[in-house]
Amino acid sequence: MNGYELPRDLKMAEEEIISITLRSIWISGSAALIAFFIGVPLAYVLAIRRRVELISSIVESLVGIPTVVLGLLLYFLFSRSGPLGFLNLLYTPQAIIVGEAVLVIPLIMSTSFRILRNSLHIYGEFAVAMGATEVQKMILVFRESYLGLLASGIMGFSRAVGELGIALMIGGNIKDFTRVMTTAIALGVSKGEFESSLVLGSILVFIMIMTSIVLKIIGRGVRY
Amino acid sequence: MNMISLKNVWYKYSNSREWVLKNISTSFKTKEITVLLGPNGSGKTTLMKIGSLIYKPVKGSIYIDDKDYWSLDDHEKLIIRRTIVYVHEKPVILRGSVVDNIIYGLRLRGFDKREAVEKAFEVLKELEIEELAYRDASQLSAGQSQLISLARALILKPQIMFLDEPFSHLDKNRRTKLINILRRVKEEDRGVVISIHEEGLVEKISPDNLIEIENGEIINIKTSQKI
Repeated sequence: MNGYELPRDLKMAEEEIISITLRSIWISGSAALIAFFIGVPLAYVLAIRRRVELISSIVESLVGIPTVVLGLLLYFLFSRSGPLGFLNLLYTPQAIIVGEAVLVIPLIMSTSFRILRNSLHIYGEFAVAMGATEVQKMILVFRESYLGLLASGIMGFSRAVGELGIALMIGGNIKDFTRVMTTAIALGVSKGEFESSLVLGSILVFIMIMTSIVLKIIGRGVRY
Repeated sequence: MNMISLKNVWYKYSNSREWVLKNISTSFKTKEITVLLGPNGSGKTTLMKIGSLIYKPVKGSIYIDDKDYWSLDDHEKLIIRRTIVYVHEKPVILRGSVVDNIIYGLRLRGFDKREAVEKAFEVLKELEIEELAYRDASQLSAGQSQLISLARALILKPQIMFLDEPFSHLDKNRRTKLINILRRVKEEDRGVVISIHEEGLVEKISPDNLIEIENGEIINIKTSQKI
């Protein structure tokens, strides 16, 4: 064994690490996308209304909901005897996607709400002054705030890819099926396989850093 | 449309208890230049936004000729609103080039892009800023942004144009140029309402009406003979 070779357990797990990483990106990406297309329109509906402080405070407080609590609630919802048991979603990647989307919607909603509220104040009023219809006004507001909204979607992805509770409780950490980076790291540590856990941890941190860099770049172009 | 009449208008912002406008009754007409004069915070901008149909008064009515504007249906409101333009004190600049910014209102009204761009160049020529046409609008100076904002209103040829502190970022030459343009607008049987806080500008503009406002109340209305 020369000094440049990977440790044996890590070498064996190389393919699995790639597959887990891709699965994580796919699952969290889908969740963030779903959350984006639900959260942003809801944020717009909130932003065009007056006196929404109570609702926006509730949404903001949901941003920090512990993932294990949400995971537990969703477990009851998706379990065989639960109200959505007939969908047979428990321990599937789809269940994790739904769970992470639910987790991320408040985050995307609250950040988008602030962006759209500011944008409506400036561009919404401007559009009215120029004789825009409600639809034309909405188009302008979205056009002028798309970078900020995109940033909130990326933030949502970052939150989803790094969470553990939901993926573990309703995904079940099934090998080659629902195992994602965070659940694989937790399992690796419990089995004493630190090398593969460290590699996965590094990849996760790398994804987070890349997301943060993209957010910073987007942030430079954001105007309010 | 010939006249916008405000009848006993009261206004306060939703997050405030204080009335910004108190029992305002006045009118803005076509074929006239009206100046709103008052110190900062006197309610000029709010009055302009109510007159240009952006804000709905909390109490009172707005009549367009003899129609109560806020009781009309959305389609009728839109038709009337498109004959009036309000230009913000702080220029609102959209993403894209200067031309993209100027043609925004025309595009809203369904104008073909080529036709709109041709009209944009006519206005740019009038304001002597053709060289800015394809510059990134977000990179302009405050004065240039204000001119773009004015060009965007002029291109629409509105019946009544509300200009909120239009001279604030302009140098002496540009101010004179703008005053001449506004006089020409009046000669074309259209109306202009200008808000200012510098009393010295009144003489230069020589308006048909001067409305002095303080603490949300009209304290004096003068016509051209008295000015």
